[in-house]
Amino acid sequence: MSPEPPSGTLPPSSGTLPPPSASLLARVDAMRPVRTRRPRLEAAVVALASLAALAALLTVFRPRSDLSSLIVDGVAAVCALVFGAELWWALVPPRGQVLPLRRGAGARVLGAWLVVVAALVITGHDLAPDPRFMASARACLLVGTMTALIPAFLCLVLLRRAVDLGGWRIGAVVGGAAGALGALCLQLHCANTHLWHVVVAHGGAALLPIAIFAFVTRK
Amino acid sequence: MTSGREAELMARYCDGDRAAFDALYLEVAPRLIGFLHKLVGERALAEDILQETLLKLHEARAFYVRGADPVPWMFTIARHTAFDELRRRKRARVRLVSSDDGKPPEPRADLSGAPEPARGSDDPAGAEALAALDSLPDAQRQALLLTKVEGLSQAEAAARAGTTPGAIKLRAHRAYVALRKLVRRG
Repeated sequence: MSPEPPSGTLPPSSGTLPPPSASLLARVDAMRPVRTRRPRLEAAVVALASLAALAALLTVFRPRSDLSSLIVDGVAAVCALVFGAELWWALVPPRGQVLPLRRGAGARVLGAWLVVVAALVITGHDLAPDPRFMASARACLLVGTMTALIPAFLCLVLLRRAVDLGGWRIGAVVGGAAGALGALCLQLHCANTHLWHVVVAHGGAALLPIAIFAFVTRK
Repeated sequence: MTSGREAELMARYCDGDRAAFDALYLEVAPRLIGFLHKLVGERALAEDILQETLLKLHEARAFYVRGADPVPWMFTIARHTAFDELRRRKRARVRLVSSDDGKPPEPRADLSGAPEPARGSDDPAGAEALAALDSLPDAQRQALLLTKVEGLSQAEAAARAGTTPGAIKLRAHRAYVALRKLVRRG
């Protein structure tokens, strides 16, 4: 992705400079000071609000019955780390830039999702067929996607001025963060250990928001 | 001027400093015009897009991050605005030259801009557009009709209107933009 030409590389136009339009001047004359973005603070607020919402949702959906035995759950830790990293990519621009657009956004999001799926696969699960695969997968996809809507909505509100400029890349990164939170919620809520359920439903819940928000924000 | 200076001007602009806007405009607008002129190939259109870009920047200034270089952001807004405008123009051209039976459309207004009751109630959007045409300034309406409806080249239209091709191009574009706004509002 090469969205922004470096400053100062273009020569000035040879013609005379047109004056600002009347409507622009009217708005500039009437302008008031605005509070500019503080991306790190925004990322922290969204992270805290999302985790608080996750805790609230878990009290509604009930945490998994064996949660107390999972002293340090590797999958949950990976989901939380991916959520934090993608939230940072989504909201905090690279140093010296205004727009939070990074090179290889699509590859980053895909790579982060693969990390979540790999964590789900390698932690070892029941390989026996799940007789209630469809019903349980549907329920988990629903819970995961509902959880994902919270950070996605907050991020898109904060990034509304950039969505038009960043297109699907911004949506994909926001969806990646949201999906990781959805997968984290499922890891703490769902005690189903069948491999295909975990990969398809929990991994799918991490992937679905990426596709949804990339589609919604495309130009 | 360094990007640090531009960042400082942008920060003062966000703080409501009118002089900072003027300084930023003088510094950045020539570069943006040059960039847009290369992108769209028409000086008049580039100037229109510059104004739209600066309006968008003004509306979005709360998105600025203090200390960041605002110029790449401005170029990104300008590029997207230009591409949006080029897409709109392309779509408008396609609509103008295509019709259901593949034949070119009949002119539906005379040179004075008086709308004909052509297609009646089966085309309310067209009737709305023709009604909006009436509210345009005479010079703009004439330029639009000569170039878009009569299909004259800019040179031919300029000769007909007794002005220059550049002026015809600018008037037709402004008329098109105004018409689109009027139809949308209606």
